[in-house]
Amino acid sequence: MADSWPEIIPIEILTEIFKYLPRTDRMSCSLVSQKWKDALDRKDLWKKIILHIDKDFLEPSTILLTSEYYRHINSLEIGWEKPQIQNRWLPLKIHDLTKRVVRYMFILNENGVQIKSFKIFEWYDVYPLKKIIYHLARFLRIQTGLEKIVFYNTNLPKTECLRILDACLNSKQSVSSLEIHNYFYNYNTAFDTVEFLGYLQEFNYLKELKIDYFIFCGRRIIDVIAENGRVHLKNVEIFFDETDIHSHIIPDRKWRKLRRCCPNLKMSVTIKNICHYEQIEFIFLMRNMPLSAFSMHTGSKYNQTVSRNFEGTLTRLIKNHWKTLEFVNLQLKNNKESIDNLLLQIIQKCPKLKTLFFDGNVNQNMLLFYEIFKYRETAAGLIVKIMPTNLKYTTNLVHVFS
Amino acid sequence: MPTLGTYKLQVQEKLLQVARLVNKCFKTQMPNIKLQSSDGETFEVDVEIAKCSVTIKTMLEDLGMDDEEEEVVPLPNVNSAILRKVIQWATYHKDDPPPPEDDENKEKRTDDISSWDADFLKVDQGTLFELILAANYLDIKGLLDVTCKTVANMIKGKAPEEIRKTFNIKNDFTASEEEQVRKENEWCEEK
Repeated sequence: MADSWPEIIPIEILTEIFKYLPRTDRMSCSLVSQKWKDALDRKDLWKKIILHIDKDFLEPSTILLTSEYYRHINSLEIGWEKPQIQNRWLPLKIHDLTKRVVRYMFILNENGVQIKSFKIFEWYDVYPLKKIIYHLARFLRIQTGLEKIVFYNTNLPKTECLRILDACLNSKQSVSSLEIHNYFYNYNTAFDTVEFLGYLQEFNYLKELKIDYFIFCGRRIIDVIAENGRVHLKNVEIFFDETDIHSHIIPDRKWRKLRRCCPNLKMSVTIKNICHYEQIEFIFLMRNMPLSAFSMHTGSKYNQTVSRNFEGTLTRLIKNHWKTLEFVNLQLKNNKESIDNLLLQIIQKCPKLKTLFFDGNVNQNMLLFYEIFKYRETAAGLIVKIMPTNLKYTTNLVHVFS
Repeated sequence: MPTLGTYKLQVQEKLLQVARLVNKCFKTQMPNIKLQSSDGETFEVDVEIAKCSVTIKTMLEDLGMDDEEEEVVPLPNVNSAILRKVIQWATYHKDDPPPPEDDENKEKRTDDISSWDADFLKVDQGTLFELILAANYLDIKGLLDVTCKTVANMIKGKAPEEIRKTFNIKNDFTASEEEQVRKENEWCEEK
C-alpha cells in the first residue's frame, strides 16, 4: 500500500492538502510530478491572492506561480505584513523589492487578469513606492468588473490614494461594495478631500458602504450618499474606534434627509475597543439615524475595572432606536454591571429584532433565561444566543429560538 | 396572569428541555447501528457517532432507517482496520462543536492539530492515506481536515526531490520539462 498511494489518491484530495500550504511549498509541489502539478491547477487554490510585499517577494515562488496560475485569480489583496518596522526588516534593497512587485503587476497586466475584489491593506508609505502604486493603478484601470474595493488601514499619501480610487472608476458600473477602514484617526487623509467626494458620487451602484465614522461625519459625505444612494444603497456600516475622538455629531436634519431620500437604507454601527462611555455617547444623540444593526466589541487590552457604562449605552440604544433595531451583537466578555434586565428589554421592546448575540456576564440565578423562555411563545423567528462568560464552565447554554 | 409558582414550574420544564437537548450528545443509552467494513467485519456504533459521517447520515435519512430496527450499513470502500480507526476518532470527537465553515479570509493553519489527534495519526503513510480516503468517502470534515493537515506538515519546507523521496513518487516530467524547471530555478538563484 505504502508505495502505491500516490497513484490512487484522487487529485481532489491532493488539492485539499495543498490548501494548507503556503506558496513556497506549493512551488516545490509543482515540481514533484505531473499529477501534483495538475492538482495545483485548481481555482480554489488561487482565486484569492494575498500579497505581503515585505514577505512574499523575498523568494520567487509568488511570481513564478502567478505566471502559471494567474487565470484563476479572482481577488487580490496587497499590503504589508509589518508596515511599522522600517529599517531592519528587509534583506533586500527597497529598489529591488519594488522591481519584483512591479514585475508581478506586469504579469497580471499583460495577461489581462480580471478580478472581482481588491483590497489594499496596512500601507504606510515611508519609502518611494510610487512605482508600485503606479502599476497597481494601471492594473486596476484595466478592470471592468470590480465588485468590492477595500481600503484597510491604507495610509498612503493623498495623491496615491486618489490615484487608486480613480483607477477603479472604470468599474464604477459594477462596484457594489466599498469599505474604508483605518486604525488610526488620520485627518490628513485622501478621504477627506473634495476629490474623494467626487469619486463617491461616481460609484452610483454601491449597495453597501462601510466606513469609519470620522470619515463619514466629515464634509458632505452623508449628503452625497443621500443624493446618490436612492436606488441601490442598502446598507451603510460605520465603525467607531478608540482613536476617532475627533468625530462630531451629524445634525439631525441630515439624518432626516437621508431617511427621506433612501427609505430602505439600513445603518449599522460597529464599536470596537471603546473604553469610556463619553466617547460614544454622541452616537445616541443622533436619534434620526436609521439604525438597524448594533455591534459592540470590547477588546481585552483595557483594564476591565474601568466602567464602560454598558447600562447607559444600552438604555439609550433601546430608547432611541427600538423601532428600527434588527440585529444586536454585544461582545462584552467581562461586564461588571448586571445588564440582564436590559437584554430582556431589547428582546421585548424592539419589534423588528431578529437576532441578539450576547457574550458576557449574566446573573448567576439565571433568571434571564427564565424570562426569555417566558417570552419565547410570542417571538417567532427570533434568534437569541447568549454565551455567559461567567457560567461557561458550568454550562454552555446556547439558546436558539426560531 | 399565571402565578410565580406556575412560572417556576414552566421554567424548570424548559430548562429540562434544554438540558435534554444538550445532553443528547452525552447520552449513553443511544440506539446502535451496525457498520460493515469491506472485509465483512461488523461494528456496532452509537447512531450519533456514526452520524458524524455525512455519508452515513444521509444514507440513514434517505433510507428512512428506523432507530428501532437492527440495521447493517455496508461500507464497501473501507476495510476493518481503517473503519476501527475512524470509529475511534469519531468516538473521541463526538462532543466537538461542528467544524466552522471554511473561512476564506483566514490563512489555513496546520499547527493547530490537537495532541490527541497527533498521537492518533502517528501511523504509517499507507494507513494515513487510507484514513484520508475513508474520511473523504464517509464525508467526515473534521477527520479529513486533520489528516490533510498532517500530510501538509510532511510536505512543508521540503524540496521537490525530498518530497518525492518521502512519499515514494516517481518523477514523471520529461527531459524538456526538467530543463524548464532547471531554468526557473536558475532564475531563483540569480536573484
